[in-house]
Amino acid sequence: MKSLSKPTASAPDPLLEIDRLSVDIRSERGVVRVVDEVSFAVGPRETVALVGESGSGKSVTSMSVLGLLPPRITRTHGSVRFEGRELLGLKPGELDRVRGDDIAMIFQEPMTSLNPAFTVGEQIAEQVRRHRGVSRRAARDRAVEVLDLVGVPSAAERLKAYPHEFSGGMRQRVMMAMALSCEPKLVIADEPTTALDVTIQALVLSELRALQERFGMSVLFITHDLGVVAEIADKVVVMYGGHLVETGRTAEVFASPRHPYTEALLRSVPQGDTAGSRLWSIPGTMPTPEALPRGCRFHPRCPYAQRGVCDTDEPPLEPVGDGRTSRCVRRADLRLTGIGADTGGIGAREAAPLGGPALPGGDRT
Amino acid sequence: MTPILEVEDLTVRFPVGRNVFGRPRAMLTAVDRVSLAVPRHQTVGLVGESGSGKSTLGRAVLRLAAAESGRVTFDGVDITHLGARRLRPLRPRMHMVFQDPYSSLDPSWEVEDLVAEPLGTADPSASRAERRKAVVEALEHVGLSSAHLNRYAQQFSGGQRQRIAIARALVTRPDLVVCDEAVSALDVSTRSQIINLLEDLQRDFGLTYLFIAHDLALVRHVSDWIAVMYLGSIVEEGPAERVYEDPAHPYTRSLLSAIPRLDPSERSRERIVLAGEIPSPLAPPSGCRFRTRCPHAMEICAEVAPPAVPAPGGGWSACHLNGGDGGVGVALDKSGTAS
Repeated sequence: MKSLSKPTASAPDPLLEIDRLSVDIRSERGVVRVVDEVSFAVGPRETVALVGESGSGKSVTSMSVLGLLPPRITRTHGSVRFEGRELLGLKPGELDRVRGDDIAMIFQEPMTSLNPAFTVGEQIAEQVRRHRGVSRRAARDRAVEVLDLVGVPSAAERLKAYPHEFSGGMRQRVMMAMALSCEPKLVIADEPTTALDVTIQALVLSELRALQERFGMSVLFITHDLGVVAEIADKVVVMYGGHLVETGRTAEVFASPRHPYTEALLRSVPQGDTAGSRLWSIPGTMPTPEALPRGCRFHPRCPYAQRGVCDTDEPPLEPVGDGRTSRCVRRADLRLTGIGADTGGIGAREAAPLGGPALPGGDRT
Repeated sequence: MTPILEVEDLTVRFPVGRNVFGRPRAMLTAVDRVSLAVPRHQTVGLVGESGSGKSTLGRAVLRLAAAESGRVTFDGVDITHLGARRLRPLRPRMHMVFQDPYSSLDPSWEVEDLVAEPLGTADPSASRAERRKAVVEALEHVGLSSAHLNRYAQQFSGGQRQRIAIARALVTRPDLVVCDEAVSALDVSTRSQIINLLEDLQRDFGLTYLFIAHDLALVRHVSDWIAVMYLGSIVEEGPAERVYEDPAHPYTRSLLSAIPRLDPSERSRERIVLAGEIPSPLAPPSGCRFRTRCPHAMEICAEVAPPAVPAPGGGWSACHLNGGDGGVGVALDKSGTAS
């Protein structure tokens, strides 16, 4: 099965290939699909950002890659291949070897993933010993090395410190050190800088970029922050209501989005001097997986939605050229605004979705 | 017109740790001799990293944290040490909206009771019908309605909960609302809904905001005036436009340079990366507090705390680079007028 050569031989085989991944969660109210036929790939040395708001399904997508969803209540369909090898359905032991060996994960809140009862040195060394099978001494040296690498000052002494003795930014670096200790090929980072101050976020991001250049690893970066995406990602994958709505190279998607949701996300971020004008906003809220609207999932909140067009059939995710895709049937008729365009009129036009505000408390009061 | 809120030389300290005799092991200075004026109907933005003391300052102006020294004047009344009985009539005129709408609203209360609660202290004699009327009005102002009266906070999304929190702050028709990271926990699209709502309400009701947030782009959007805090002190103040376009303090410059840009082509821009993290307020550096992380630190910075010096374009900054020591600049009182 390994790396069947593709008809398009120009692009290198992806490191991670997610193909029609769906995740169903069983609850008292029945089975709901929270991730719906998601497909994208992460190439070698590539950084892909998975973007979405809460409830978009982005975190469930990333967790299912590593088999971190509770098996009793979730069912995963589709395929997740790493270097051509299928990860879905692997036995826990086999999956454990992939995690840490080849794929590492960095979470938003390091305190929940670091064990408070052990020193950081013990935790990193344990990880190295388990996956590399080296001596205690070598594992300890490796721990010093990686802590040093991620910019933890006086690494050898800090080895004896417990997680609570580190500040938030330093803890996030300890997480990075742990993730890198086995030189993974892929790092999955789920909102790793969200809890940090901007100054520390800037440091952690530049550290991550430097490490990536040095080790040539790939990164799947999950975030809601488009500024962070612009800073770090080669490609961007935008999720809404459990499925993909737009994908493409970051620079191109940001310059000329092909889906109204991407446009709305970009324009909701105030850039420069917007004082005195209204912020671009999306009325209503993200639909829950139990109550997805008919037709396009974004249409009740979309300023461009057309009756009879957008509220009938669910639009497919289609290629729109340059390796980009979009799930908007009206994309050819729309001139969507990206960054760099004249933003003078930002927010001048209020979103007026089909059938009025979707919820009480739509933007207008 | 006098500012609705004036803070003069305010210091707030907290005891840290207790020994076996119940005495504090140390005192932490969260706010150190801060002066700030908030003019009526305007928005003053307060920015800084976590640990800068911005939230403590916000709480202190509402008397939710006790001042050790200095003065807080609300609408001409010195409230710094006002007793509970004399503070009560002022309470309805100032409110706070917190960051986390999940923990600031009791999930076991109905919306009506949540929003009505501040009315109880404001006007205990009000009838049930009067109260309900005020609550419904407040709900309508934030885009909710009487249909939501008997629902529980937990039935609402984050954005809707924050609307309830704002209705609660609004129900007594306050003059001053302190927004402490009021939109930080919300998603991008919901965030701009709430920001637009806050701006509408300000216009309609003549509200004054003290807007505390770490999101600098957002603070710029909402604020008329901005104060930058570092380790308990304000290091720079000025009109929002001036502070963003022409920051005078190295700390402000580094904060601004750390904001992620939406334009991927700016990825390779020069950034001012700060060394290390904010020092412990238990042992702040001597002289200028920012000097341990400042790319321009000089000898004098360790010895002398820099005075406030007027900034071209309005406001002031406290940095030796900008003169002010030995008569290079003009020493200012911190309201921005030359003394």
